[in-house]
Amino acid sequence: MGRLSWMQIHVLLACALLGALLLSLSVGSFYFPPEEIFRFVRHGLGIAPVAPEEGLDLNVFVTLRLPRVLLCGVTGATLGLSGALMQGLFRNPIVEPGLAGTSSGAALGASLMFVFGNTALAFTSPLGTAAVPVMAFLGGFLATLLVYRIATLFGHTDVLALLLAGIAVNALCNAGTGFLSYIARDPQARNITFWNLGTFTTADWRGSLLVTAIFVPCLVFILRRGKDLNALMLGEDDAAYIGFDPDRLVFRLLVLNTLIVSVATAMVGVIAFVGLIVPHMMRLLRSSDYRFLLPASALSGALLMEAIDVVARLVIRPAELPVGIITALIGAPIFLWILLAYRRRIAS
Amino acid sequence: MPADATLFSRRDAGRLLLAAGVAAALPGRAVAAGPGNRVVCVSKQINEFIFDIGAQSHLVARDLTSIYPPQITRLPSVGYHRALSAEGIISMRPSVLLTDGNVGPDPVLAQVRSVGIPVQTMAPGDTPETAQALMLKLGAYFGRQAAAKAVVARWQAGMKAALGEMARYARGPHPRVLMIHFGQIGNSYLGLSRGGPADQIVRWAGGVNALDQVGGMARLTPEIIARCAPDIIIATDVGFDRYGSAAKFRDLPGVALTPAAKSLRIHRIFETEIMYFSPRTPASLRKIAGWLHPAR
Repeated sequence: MGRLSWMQIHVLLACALLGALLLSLSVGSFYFPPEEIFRFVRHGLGIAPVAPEEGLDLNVFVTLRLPRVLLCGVTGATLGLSGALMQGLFRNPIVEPGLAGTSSGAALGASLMFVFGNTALAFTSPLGTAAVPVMAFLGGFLATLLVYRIATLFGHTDVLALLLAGIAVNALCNAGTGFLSYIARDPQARNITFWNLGTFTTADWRGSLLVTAIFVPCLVFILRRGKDLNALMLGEDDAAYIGFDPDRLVFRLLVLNTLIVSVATAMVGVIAFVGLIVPHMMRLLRSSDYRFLLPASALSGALLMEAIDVVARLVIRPAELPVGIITALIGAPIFLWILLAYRRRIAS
Repeated sequence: MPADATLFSRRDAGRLLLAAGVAAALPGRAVAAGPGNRVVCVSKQINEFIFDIGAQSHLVARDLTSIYPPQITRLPSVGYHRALSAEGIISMRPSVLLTDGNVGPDPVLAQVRSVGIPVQTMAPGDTPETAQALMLKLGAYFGRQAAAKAVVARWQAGMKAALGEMARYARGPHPRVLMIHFGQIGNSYLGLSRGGPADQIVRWAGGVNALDQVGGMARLTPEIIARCAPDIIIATDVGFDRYGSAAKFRDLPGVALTPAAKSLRIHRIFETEIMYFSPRTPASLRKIAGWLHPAR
């Protein structure tokens, strides 16, 4: 890997992601062989309609599988990118998207909906099944804004204060969710448990396109700040000497980060670990330069997420496992393996 | 006459075609169709009832908690009924998805409908009468009215006889009963509160629920268990089997301090026998009454 250029690694990751996307489109409770997917594409382009007996398969492919694969990829890319970004902004290797309060705030919002959806929050009923994602987004966004507000109270973005405020707000939100699941009656308590494990089963076009439409412009903006993030690594004061305003950069990046993570978390629930391990895998693989790290983390986040979702769909077919369980189950050993390989290389 | 007859039948055929066309154009107005022969049912109570009326050949999949009667476990499971995946259900190519309304996550029913698979929700209510009405409804739905009627008639007769036997316990004494259920998701022990089928069965058997909370389940703490001071503990199968015997069940914190532990009146029951009303209810009622009043 050491001999490959950044660009070559990016291309390799993109090819692997393409393969994972095709695999993810193909396997699951429904198996769509490549030639069938090809027929669906021709049908979609109006070249050759599919046979009527394939109608259900086509329906499942278009209304369930495609939006799911899209949502899964974008969520993985979001978590990978966000992890790399936050580890850079906070100059701390253990930071992940959940740390600034986003995941725990979203979980609290969703839990409020599960427990009080039919009583105190009944006014949200016109939203239908979108009520939980909307509340989760509000929870995630508000919790993260609270963290930033505390960190920027005295005019200067204090990274350490941000980190500590994040820990405190997380604890507060988790306490709220814990309290709600304790007072909840069955089956609400079980909804909270499952939401906290994350799943892509609820993906639909509306949600997937919304997440994608918000992610893509944010991705473009963030990728263009790789050089500035490298400068920020020198420390905020030194970065200021190089000629840009680190406070403004940090704040902008954090707001965008909050937006993409809140929206994705609101749709799929809490998926831990991906945002932590993906950037580290890329660092160990090649470089900590953000011009390399940001796109590589987004690509490999999507790649890992697709692979994990394939496993989630296959192990107990036709039922499914929540992806949050598998992210830790698969992610942790991969991460340990890479870490050991890296240490062995250093030692020799 | 032959000419007339032909004309008449042609006109008839025309009317039929017209009616068929209207029916096809207005699918929402169509008469509720039968279940078809590929039913996925994600309710343990409805699944048991389907077996009761002999309509099990229609079933192709169940949910994880549908384990009675035992032969249903030969069918594939589409997962836990509150964590379903639409694609898993649809991959069974069901003619209908049957639920009792207790399903999740929220979007799953809409997703199943979106690919053109009908969803039928039949709420069982929480009295024997509503459960019997559900049995009859299922009979009509599966075209097995006679079987359903016979099952309900036997069930009603069984209830009447069993309730008649319970009359002698009405005067008391009324032993205090704590029903402990292990919730696998929260990994905690729950007490069955007042108001549900289990509570009703215990009251019929001449007992009194040691928990005074009304509705749903209560999280048990050692102090709550001790304060309830039950004379008898009835534990559902999964939680009981974690300990393995009545003597070992006393290791559950708080239980050792109860009168039930001292006299070792701790009993195991299948969850499905008390969580809802079914034709097995009279037998469960007699069994529980036997535990409550061993001398009589």
